[in-house]
Order: sequence, then structure tokens, then C-alpha cells
Amino acid sequence: MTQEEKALQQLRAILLQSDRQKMETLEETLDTPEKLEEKMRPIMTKQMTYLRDNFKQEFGGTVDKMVESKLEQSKEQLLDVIYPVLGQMITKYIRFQFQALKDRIDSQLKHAFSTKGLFRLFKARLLGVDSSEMILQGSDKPIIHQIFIVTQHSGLLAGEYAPTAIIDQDMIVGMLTAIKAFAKDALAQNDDLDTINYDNYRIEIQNFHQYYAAIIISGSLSVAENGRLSDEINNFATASLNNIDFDIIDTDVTDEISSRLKDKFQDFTFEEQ
Amino acid sequence: MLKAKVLLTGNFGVGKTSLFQRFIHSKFDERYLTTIGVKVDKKQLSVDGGEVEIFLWDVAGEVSQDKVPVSYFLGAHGIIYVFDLTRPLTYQNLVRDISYLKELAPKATVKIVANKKDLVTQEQLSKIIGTLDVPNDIVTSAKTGENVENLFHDLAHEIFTKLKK
Repeated sequence: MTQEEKALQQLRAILLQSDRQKMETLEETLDTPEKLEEKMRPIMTKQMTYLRDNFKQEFGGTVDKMVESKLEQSKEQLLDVIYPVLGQMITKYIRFQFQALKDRIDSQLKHAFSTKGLFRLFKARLLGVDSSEMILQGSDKPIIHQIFIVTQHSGLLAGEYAPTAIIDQDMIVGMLTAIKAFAKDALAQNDDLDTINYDNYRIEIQNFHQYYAAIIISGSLSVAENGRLSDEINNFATASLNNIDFDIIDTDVTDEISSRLKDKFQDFTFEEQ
Repeated sequence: MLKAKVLLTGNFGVGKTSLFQRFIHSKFDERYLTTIGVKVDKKQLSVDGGEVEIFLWDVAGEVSQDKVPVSYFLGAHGIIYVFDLTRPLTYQNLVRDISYLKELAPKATVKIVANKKDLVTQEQLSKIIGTLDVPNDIVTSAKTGENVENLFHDLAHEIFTKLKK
């Protein structure tokens, strides 16, 4: 090394000493999490406060678009989640109104002095039931014969529970869907068929977005019993059908839903627990 | 095994119910068709890769497709539109009818069927086919059974492939 080069090196060391110290301090700060956190915290806090105060302005549009897109993609599933809840609310309201009607009938009966009325009252007291219930309901107990879960438009049997099955369920639900479609087109465009009566049997139909439940019942079904059945179907739909893809119905789907129906309804009874 | 809804539609008297009967030994009484305008039956078919159970809705014939209840078409996986080779009236509105059907059931596979082949000569057949605004997919005869199995098998195969994608 020449004399000039040595002098230049010394000069460089003197001039850059301050910068080197700063660099060392900076490196130490970056390599030590505690020191880095101490430096970053005020900046982060400031940024977070800013984001909290201005989130809607900065990201509102993007979030709205994301939510809108997600809702659009999950429309079917969302509707299936909402349907049972709405159904339950409406059912409860209607049941309340029927209960009010029953109470009014009961009140009138209490003031009836006919022999028949007194006898009915006596029998009702003896059995521990409302006299109005005895008028509205026959003595025959309701029995569920079959429960079908059917795809709403294509009419394909997606699941069934049939303790006394003797008929071709696929054909029955196909024709039932055709009858529903016919009634919808011919009679009421905005409403769905919800009951079909024949002889001592009735088919209770509970509509959801992608599917409907059809329950074949014999005997006399009171308003309270109908409400309970409706609640059970709604609960079943919420708990067991939300994750089912009703676009493709194959044997696996049918077996799965049938098994869930059996688990839910094999011990179901209209008797008060 | 997959399940699929297939609608059989077209003008009255084109041979839809004959195709239906030829394909399926129906269990249900004819009165269903006259009462609510549709009769449903099913048949199981084997296709490459699996089994398809077709639920065939035989819709009562109407001069125009917009007379058929709209709800019948909803959710259909396949539609068979049948016309009669001997009656020009039954295929003169093909463009309008087919676009209407595709609008109602956009996901459905549509097959256009020229039926009653047994009643026309080969020369007449070629001439009629040449005049169609929308090309037909297959020529059948419900009377002799010609191409009936092929029609349903091809349709079942297409539906199966589409649903399994």
C-alpha cells in the first residue's frame, strides 16, 4: 500500500465513522425484536388508528363487492338456511292465532247449556283435554306413514323414511311434484301447494328453496300437532340438509338423507313428551 | 346411480306417448295425463361409467310450447322435443319452440326428434330434414321402435357426462 492509499484510508475512516456507527445501531435495532417493536409500535398504532377511523373510506367498496359476490355464490345455501327459520316464525305466529281462536271457542262452550255441550265438557275434563280440541280433532290419532324429501322442481326423491312403505316412492313423488307444478301454474302463481287430502289420509307439504318435504299422515291432526311436526321438519332441515348438494341426486345422497330421516323420525310420536 | 328428470314435449299427436310407451312399460293410468297434463314414469339405463335413472315426464301435446305449464320444465336435466314428419305444422315453429325451451331450462340437454319415420319415404325424409330451421338430432319410429332406445340412451349418456363433470 502506498503512502497516498494509507492517507486516503485514514481519511475515509474519519469521514465515515459517524455513518458506520449509525449503520451498526440500525442493524442492532433490526436484529433485536424488542428494539424493533419499540420503534414500530408508534407507527403501527398510528396506522391502526387511521385504518379504524377510515376503514369504510379505504376498503368499504372492496368489502362490499366481496360480500356481494360471496352472497351471490352462496345464494342457494343461504336461502336454505333462512327458509326453516322464516318457516318457524310464521308457524309460531299462525299457531298463536289458532290458539287464540281455540280459546274463544272454549270460552263459548263453557257457556253452552246443551246436554251435548255439557257431556262434551264432562268428557273433556275427564280426559284432561280442551273441549275445543275434541271438536276440532277426531278421536283417531295421527300416524306418519311416509316422509319424503324431494327436489323442488325436478321432483326427484332425495330421501325417504317409510315405516310402512308398500308403494313406489319415486313414482309417487314424481307425480306429486307434477301436481304441485300444475296447481302452482293453474291456481296461485306465488303460492305453493301445502296440503293434499284424500279419504283419511293427507299429505302435508313443507316447501324449502331447493327441496320440499312431503309427509303422508293418516288420522286427525290437530293444529298443535301440525305445528309440532312442522317444527320437527324445520329442525331437521336446518340440522341435516344444509350441507347437501341438491343439484345432483344419486344413490349416495338418497341413502344419506334417508338414514338421517330415520335417525330423526323413527322414535317420533305426536304424544306430548 | 344418478337420477335425472327428462321432459317429453311437442305438438299434440306427434307420438310422444307412443315413444314413452315404447320406452317404458308404464304403470300409471292414462287418466293422469288427461287430468293434469303430465304423466311421470321412470326407467333405469346403463351408460359408460355408471347408471342413470330417468324420470320421464310425458307432457300433453299443445300447439305452442308456451301453453305447457312453465313449472313442468323447471329443474329438467333433459328435454325431448318431438315433431311429426308427416305434419309440417308440428315443425314449422322449431326455432321459436326450442329457444323458448332453452330459456326455461338452460341447463337441460335438448334433443330434437323427428318421429313417424315409418310413414315417409327416404326421399321425403331427406327433403323434410333439409327444410328444417333447426337441425334434428335423431329420426325415430315409435311404431317400429327404430332408434327409440338409441334416443334415450344417447340422452342419458349426455346427461350423465354433464352431471359428473
